[in-house]
Amino acid sequence: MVSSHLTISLQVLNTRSFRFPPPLFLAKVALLISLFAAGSAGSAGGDPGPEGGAAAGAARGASTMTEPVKGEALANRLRIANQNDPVRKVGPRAGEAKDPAPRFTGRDLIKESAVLSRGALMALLPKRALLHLPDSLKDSTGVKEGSTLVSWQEFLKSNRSWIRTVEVSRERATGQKPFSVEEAEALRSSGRVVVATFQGGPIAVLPSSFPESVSPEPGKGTN
Amino acid sequence: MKRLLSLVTIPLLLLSPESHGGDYVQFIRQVQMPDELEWDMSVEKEGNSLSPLAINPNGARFELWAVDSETLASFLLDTTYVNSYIPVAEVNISTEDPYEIIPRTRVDRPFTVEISLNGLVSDSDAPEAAQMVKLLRHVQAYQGKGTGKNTNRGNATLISEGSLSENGDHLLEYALTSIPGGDREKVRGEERFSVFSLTDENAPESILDSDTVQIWPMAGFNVEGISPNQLVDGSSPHLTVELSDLYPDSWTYLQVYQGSPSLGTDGVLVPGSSVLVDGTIPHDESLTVKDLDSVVRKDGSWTLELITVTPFGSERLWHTTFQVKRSVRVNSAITTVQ
Repeated sequence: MVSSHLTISLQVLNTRSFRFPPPLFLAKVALLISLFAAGSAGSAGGDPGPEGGAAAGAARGASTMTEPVKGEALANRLRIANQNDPVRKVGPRAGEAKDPAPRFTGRDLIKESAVLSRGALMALLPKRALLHLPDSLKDSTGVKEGSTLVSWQEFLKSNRSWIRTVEVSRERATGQKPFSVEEAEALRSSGRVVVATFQGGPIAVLPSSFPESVSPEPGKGTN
Repeated sequence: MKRLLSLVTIPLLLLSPESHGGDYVQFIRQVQMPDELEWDMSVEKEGNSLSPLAINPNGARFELWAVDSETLASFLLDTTYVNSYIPVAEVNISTEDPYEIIPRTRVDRPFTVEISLNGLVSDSDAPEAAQMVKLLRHVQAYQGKGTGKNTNRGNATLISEGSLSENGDHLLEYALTSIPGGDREKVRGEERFSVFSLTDENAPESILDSDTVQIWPMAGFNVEGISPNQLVDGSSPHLTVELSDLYPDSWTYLQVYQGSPSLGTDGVLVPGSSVLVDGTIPHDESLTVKDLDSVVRKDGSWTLELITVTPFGSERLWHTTFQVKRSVRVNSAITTVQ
């Protein structure tokens, strides 16, 4: 068995002040990700060897031996601890009454994304990055049994024949500089799946930035 | 100006400790506020890159995802909201267990939550979101012998909340977990401490940082084959030892020594009774000990103890005393007749 973990380090390089409304500032985020492989559960009889953990490495009798706190004594400790929860003492409740955490936990990324699939490969992208999906290629969406998820870049490499990417600026994605009707129609007429990208990564585009089709052919937008 | 935004470690094993040996596709989804426009940036397993998508003026949320390429199980490993006046938070939980992958401890042991805050302002004209953050404590029990795999963390219970309005380090000391459960010795689950921004004009309350500590139960045992003050006048009895919920980093064994029970005595390890666990989840073990004779040679009173050594120290789980009387005195007389 193998387990792993990720470390993310975000470093913001910016110039900031506290004038309001907030000034424009340059911000760049440095992302440091480390994926480690680590050993998982294991057990064996016999004396502990040098590969054991902290406890195994401890010499017998090296520390004072105790007997575990159990039963009523443990329950009493809990009662005291619950009466003295430091979180309640740092400051009064603030903000909205509703717990915001469920918005961030228990999410299913697959449901939140569009899936493109062909052959044995699949890729995820933001739903609104899929600008156009021709009727003839609708089978190329959704999770396919037995397919393997790969990165967007790897998927695109193998499927350029039916995917057209269009690089968009931040302003275009947010609707500040929308596509013209002609540009949108030209992309639709390619007969390929059209995906908006920013520096090669799929990016969502506001519906208002990609005008809907003015004619019934060759297809309609998916936004 | 440079400032460190956050540094957190969130392990995949917390979410999927057992059966994952496959590949993961990992990427960062940058969510631009206020429209929540998403941009996916692929990342390698290890590396360092700059996000070219500027976060100004409305801020952005960064989400680090890993998706199992076969099962499509997705894991939100870390997330943080960044904006010009939103403070930066870092949450770190520490325990007595030096395990590095994830903070973990036992149900009866203490842990510490350290929260570092930067960027809070005391200017009363500033938005409330710049003046304070929200602190939440969630608990979630694992059912049965659960290990956290397939646990829906959206169902965690919020048991306490507060606010922080001062920059710097805030230390919260906990004597033990408050994960609910009637049998306190057998509680298992996790506690999560999260710092959230308050709602501002660009974004709803958003997570700035969080950390989770995993809580494991106390070891259980059942020793059969010997009773208190049992007389051993032949071969020593065979013992059956059932062990449950041995701590993921532990060494458990039987020891014997002559005399009455005395806590802390360093006895002789009983051959075949040693169980070493070096893993990510608690462990159950069943042993049959047949070789007590090799370490119990003399007549007299003996003490047998079950010991477990964990990062929390050495503990005597159980003990009993038995009597050994094997030597046979023969009263006889020898006479000769001539």
